[in-house]
Amino acid sequence: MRSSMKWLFSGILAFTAVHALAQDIKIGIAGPITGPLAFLGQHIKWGGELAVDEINQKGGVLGRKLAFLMQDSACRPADGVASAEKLLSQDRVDVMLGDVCSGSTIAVMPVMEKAQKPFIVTISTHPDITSKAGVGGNKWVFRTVANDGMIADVVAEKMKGYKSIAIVGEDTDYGRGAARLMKERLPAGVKIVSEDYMKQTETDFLPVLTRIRAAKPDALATYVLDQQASNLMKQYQQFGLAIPLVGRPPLGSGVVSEQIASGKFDGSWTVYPYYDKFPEPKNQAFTRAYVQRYKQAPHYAGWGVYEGVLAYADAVRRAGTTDPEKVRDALARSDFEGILGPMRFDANQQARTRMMFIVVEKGVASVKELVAAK
Amino acid sequence: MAADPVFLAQLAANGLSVGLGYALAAIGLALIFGILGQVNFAHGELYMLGAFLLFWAMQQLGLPYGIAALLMVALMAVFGALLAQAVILPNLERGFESVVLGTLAVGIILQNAVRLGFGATPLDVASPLESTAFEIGGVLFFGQRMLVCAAFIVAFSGLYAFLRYSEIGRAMRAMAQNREACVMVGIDVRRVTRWTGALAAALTGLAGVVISPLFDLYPNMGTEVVIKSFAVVIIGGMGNIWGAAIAGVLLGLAESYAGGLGSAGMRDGIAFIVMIAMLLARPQGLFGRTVRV
Amino acid sequence: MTRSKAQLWAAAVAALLLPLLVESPYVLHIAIVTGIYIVLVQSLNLVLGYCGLLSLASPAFFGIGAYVATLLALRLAWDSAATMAMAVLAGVVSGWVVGFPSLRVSRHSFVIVTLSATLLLQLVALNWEEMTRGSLGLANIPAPHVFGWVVRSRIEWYYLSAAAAAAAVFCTWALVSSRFGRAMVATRDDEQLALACGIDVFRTRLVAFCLSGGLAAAAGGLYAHFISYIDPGVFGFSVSETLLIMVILGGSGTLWGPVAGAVVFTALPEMLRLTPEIRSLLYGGILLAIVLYRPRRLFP
Repeated sequence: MRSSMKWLFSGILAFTAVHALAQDIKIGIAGPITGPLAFLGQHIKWGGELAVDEINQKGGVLGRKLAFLMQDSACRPADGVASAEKLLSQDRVDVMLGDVCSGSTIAVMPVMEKAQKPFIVTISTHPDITSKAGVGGNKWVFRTVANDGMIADVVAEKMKGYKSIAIVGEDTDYGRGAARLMKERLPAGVKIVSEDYMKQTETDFLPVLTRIRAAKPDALATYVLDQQASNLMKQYQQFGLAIPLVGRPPLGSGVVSEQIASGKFDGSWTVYPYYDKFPEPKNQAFTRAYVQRYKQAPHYAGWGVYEGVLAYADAVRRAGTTDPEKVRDALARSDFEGILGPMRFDANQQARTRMMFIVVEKGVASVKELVAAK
Repeated sequence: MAADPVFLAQLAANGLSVGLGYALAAIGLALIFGILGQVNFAHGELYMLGAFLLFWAMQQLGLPYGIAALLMVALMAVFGALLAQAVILPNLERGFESVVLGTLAVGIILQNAVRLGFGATPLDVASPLESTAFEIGGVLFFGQRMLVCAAFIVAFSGLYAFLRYSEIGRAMRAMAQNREACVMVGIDVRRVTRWTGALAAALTGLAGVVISPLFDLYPNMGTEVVIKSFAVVIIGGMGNIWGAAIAGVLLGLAESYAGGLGSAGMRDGIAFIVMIAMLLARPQGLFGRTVRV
Repeated sequence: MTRSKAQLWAAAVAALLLPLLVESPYVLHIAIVTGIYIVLVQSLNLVLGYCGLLSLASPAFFGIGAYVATLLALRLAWDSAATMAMAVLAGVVSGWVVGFPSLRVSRHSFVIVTLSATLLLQLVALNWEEMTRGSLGLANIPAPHVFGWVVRSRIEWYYLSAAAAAAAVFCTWALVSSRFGRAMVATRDDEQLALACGIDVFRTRLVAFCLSGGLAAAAGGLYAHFISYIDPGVFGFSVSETLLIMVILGGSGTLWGPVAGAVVFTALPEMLRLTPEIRSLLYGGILLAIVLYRPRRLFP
């Protein structure tokens, strides 16, 4: 009888859920609700819900309300696919947004093609997603954020002037991939004195920092995400090192704000798609609303999803329908004004957006310039 | 650079402090192996729970680090006894797979409960020793890591004394040797089981308390610890607390040198390689099974 | 016909007709995954249920099967019958390599050594970039093609997966009913007595371990072709967790118990998707409740 209660309960839940959402335009996403990147999953949910609520308050799209449905992928490709399957066939979402981890996003791409629904990638930065989209084969995939190749172009530019660098990255497709792209574009004469990739859950940077302390490079190219960066920076401070963190450290993340304020990281810089302190009116309005509701500053993942939802809503309005093919065509012609400027897709359906060059000076991280994509 | 003595000495200092941290984290597991003969798959979550309880005590109750630490250790002891009572005891007769699954389930519940309760954003525990470091001959010694070593020494000596001189300690050693004989001699096996659980949880929680200010707290942090603890226990000998201590230090040093002179991948792999080598060459570990003092 | 036999026949008929009754691709997807899990579950059942060894090495063989099949299909464009055969062979050989040292140590050490084998393989997959592309993973694994017939649609996949599951159950049954099977059970029930009867305990366990490796590798190969993308995550510990739950709660050491376990515990997390936030918590809670209060097994 315990199990029949379970059935009853889930049955009722399922029924009410389906019934309530029958008329809405549904936006689905598979993201890490659990797992080592769970805090990014939180921001995804917040960004999506904020966007959906803002639009609904203004009357929705074409007279219908938006709904934001999220399933747990734990950043695992198989779970990402299962989540996508469920969202597509059970919940009948009209569009899917991309996952955080490129592996999961890449695994879902063919699923979206089979389902013939648009797939808007707003966080993953792996270049393969671009090369396989648009003229690359999959006409349903769009990416609204800069990819690792575009960012590496900018990073390599800024490396001019260093005689030697060390590289520290997470042992994932992001860490290794982005670092490799940077190395390919590195100006001649810059020597790489050490290169380390640690697993994403690694917390102990003692050996690496010890080695760097002895090798004394001009800069430390950093390719880790927020959680690891926070640990790295904490231990870095204990070592009393004065080498700037460059490349892609998440200097704009709230998780490391204390370390930045300490003043020990002046001279560090990063190239990121987004920074919540960017002083632009639309961004400030967005950030204010976000902080008021969720008590935390928006992470890049939250902003990505927020703008992705807005871009989709814009496309639906211009298409005049939620018919997937017409919406896809509307997206391809998009001119949506985001916080970084107009969102225009190239032949591979990659938005050639501008990127933020963020520098730390006197304990404060700020956007020094917006760099256009090559 | 590789031959630089300061560099090598720094690696040694790092390895020693990390190793003692491993040892402290592993003792709880060794006790449960040795005395109860069970594999505790919630071990990592006990470590994580200790750290989060500390955070809670400091944030919500506003207690300073030291007092919060003591309170947390006491709470963990109670939790450990409960765990032993509710999950380990009932399943002892059912075969050890049941305990494996039961502790696994507890681990899943704890991890997700903490995630729901505290959120997944990494949290920071501020310890007074956090940024302190002093230098001797070019080699850095970090304040918090010295606390870890001190905590280990205190905990280890306390445990040693307890096992040697107290009545329950003797009962524990007896149970590690031969469970049936204990029953025949009239030792209350249930009581010993509860005490073991409490002790193991308290020690593991203590490890969480002293090590967590070094890194950030997040619900997944237990997974790393489990693997290292298992390695330490295998290398040292199941249930042997001296073994855990020495194995921990050895592992810490091996990792430090592998990571400093080799690469991060080598550092991760070395724990397994040493463990498997130990199992092939000397399956009972360096010191063999039994909780001996 | 006994009641359980009748139930079995009813279930088999339902399984055969499933794709015709259900239209949802999502449900079919889950059914296909369940089929793959049934193969995997019998692999663990052999070692745990019939030999009494708590092994955490299943993901190791699963992953090896997946990578071998993938690399052969991607790099050498082999026919799927061949890639699967090689995957199974790789599984059997790995079973020997892992089993030979691990079966000599105590039961507790065995658990941890099998776990370390899995984690070590994950490290290798992560770092041996030339072969496995490390964390980037291997994508676009072709659908299985056997002598010209390509398995593309979900319905075709369903029948392939169901056939594989049936084959796994059949192999297990054949093994267990044989003299070798009785030897396995003897080593599980009373090692000393088995030795006294002249059974080579070590060799029996080793052979069982190798066969289990082969089965798990077969599941891995199928999985790779189905999801069409693999990365070192296939060696993840969570697969072990799930398998243990399926086998032990389904009823280890029985033929159909683990199958029921696989069905229930593939469906359960998916059903719990209705509450994504607390899904994992509920899962742990249900598991604990079952462990503490369960009936002897799920399937009589």
